[in-house]
Amino acid sequence: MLTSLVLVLVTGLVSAALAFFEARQLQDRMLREIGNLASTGMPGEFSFQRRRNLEEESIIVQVLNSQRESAKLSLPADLAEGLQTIRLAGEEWRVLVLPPDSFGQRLAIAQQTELRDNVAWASSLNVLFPVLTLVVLMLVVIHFILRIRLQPLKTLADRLDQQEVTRLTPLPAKDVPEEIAPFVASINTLMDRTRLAMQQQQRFIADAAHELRTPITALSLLSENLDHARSESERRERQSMLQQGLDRISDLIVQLLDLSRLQSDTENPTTAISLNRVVVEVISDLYPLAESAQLDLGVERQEPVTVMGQEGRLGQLVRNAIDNAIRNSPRGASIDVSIFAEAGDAVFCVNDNGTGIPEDELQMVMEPFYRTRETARPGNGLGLAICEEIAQRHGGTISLSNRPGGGLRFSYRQRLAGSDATNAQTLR
Amino acid sequence: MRILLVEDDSLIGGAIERALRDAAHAVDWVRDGVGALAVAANEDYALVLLDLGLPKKDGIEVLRELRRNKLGVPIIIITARDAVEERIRGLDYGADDYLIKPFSIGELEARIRALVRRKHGMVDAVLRSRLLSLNTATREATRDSKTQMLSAREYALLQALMLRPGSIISRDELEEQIYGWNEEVASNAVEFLIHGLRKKLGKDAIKNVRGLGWMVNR
Repeated sequence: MLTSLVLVLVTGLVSAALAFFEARQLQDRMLREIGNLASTGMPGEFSFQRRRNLEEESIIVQVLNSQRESAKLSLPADLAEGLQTIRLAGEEWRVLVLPPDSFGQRLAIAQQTELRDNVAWASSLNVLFPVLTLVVLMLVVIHFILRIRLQPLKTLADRLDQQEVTRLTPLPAKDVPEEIAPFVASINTLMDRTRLAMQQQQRFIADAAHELRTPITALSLLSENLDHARSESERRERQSMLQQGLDRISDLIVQLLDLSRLQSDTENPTTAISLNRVVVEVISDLYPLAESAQLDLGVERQEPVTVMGQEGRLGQLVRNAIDNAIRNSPRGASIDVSIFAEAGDAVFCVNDNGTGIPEDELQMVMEPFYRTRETARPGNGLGLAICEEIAQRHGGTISLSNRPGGGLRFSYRQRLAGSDATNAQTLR
Repeated sequence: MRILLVEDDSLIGGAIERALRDAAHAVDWVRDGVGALAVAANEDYALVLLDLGLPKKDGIEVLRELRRNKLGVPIIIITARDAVEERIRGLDYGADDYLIKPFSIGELEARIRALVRRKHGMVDAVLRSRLLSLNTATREATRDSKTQMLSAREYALLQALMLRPGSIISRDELEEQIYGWNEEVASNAVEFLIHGLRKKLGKDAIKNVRGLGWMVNR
């Protein structure tokens, strides 16, 4: 608004100045015309007077060096030829001196500068005034048009201001100027996504609180039971159950923290990692656990694969996958881990001989805290959710499937380091 | 009292089972909804403690099915689902009480006593027969204003008799009320307990009806 105002004002002033100078040039031309006229037709001295009593309007023509009484101006006799501005008795004059005529006379045509300026000013004001009027008028009109046109925008802004973060409602797409309709649509999409994310968060918190109740219930009951122990051995037995309860709650809290760190972690320095080394480390960590459950944990197929990622996170994914298999396998069963390259992907697989997961629940078990309906699988329902989060962050995918002979197959795929897709890809 | 515990979490189930046994109840523990229905249909329980989040069949479904089958056993829901709608649903489908995890054993036992009282039309925590009174809260038996402390099993046996004064209760019934599935029952356990009780409360406190069982006078 201000810039357009300044712009219009400058334009106005420039055209006023142009009008001013044009008026002056016009007057100079007029002096020349009169000079031509005087030199050809009318010898002698005279003056034009547009209006009788206005001396100011007059143009004086007189012969230089004239000693006659009638001479109106006492012009110096040595004036150069051509146009010039001189001072006479405190007033400025514009004088045109003609070349000497056949009689040797030099004619001077003179006009008072002040008068000329007045005329020029008047003409430039004539230009400036309509421009300024137009500008003011335009500003007023534009202002009102904008107000009317932008009223819906203001309404939208008010609606946005009134929104509560916990209850986002989409903006109405009707009655919106078509210029801003795409903008409104974008805001609505953003709001949808925000709402979804918040719902997920709220559900997660509710689930987490719910999930904490179980071990806390166990702890409170177990500690009460401790009081009723009748012998030292009974007391020790109850104490070890209490310890199990404490272990469980601390496991749950560690995993909750893991998941929340994963979700809020934005800095992801990645390096080339040998997935084989990660798997070997995890297996050597978990082997005693598998052994104590009389499980045959081993590697079925191993090819060297390198992926881009965070070693600690990928280790967590591998650990959760194998740990899950250990927890869900019957005694004496075997767990086969494979790691190989396939179609530009690194693939990490864990096959177990457990009960598997009902087909319709294979997707849902990746959700935090989801428990299968048919069988009570041990654990707190966070392990796979953590795997899924890690996979997403590495641009990888996890798929679960039931094996034809019974048992579950956990498989993780990620682009091999150095393949085209990896180089272009950055971690979320 | 014989109680059916339906709870899938091994730590919580184990803790409740232990606590109820400490309190002289016979406890049978099943870990899923289908098992709960099968057991409840075939055995006579004084009370069911029912978790809602169960594998195979949700607790609410178990509850509805039990009531549909006209089983009138008192049921207490024990669950982490604390939403008001859930509680309303549970009670409307026929639960007698609703206990939200985490709870204390003390509260659970008080609620069990209250439910048993209500079922037998009692107004306070004391069961009465002609000669005896049995305080179910303190587990003390009183005769002629002399109060006796009872062992857990003694209490369980006397309670079974005092809940139905004037009726003869068989050995099998008594054993069922005192022992859960996994507990071994000694062949003369009931006689042994009756002997102890008579010693504390007088020989005529509990009558033996030969070939049928035992009773306390109304």
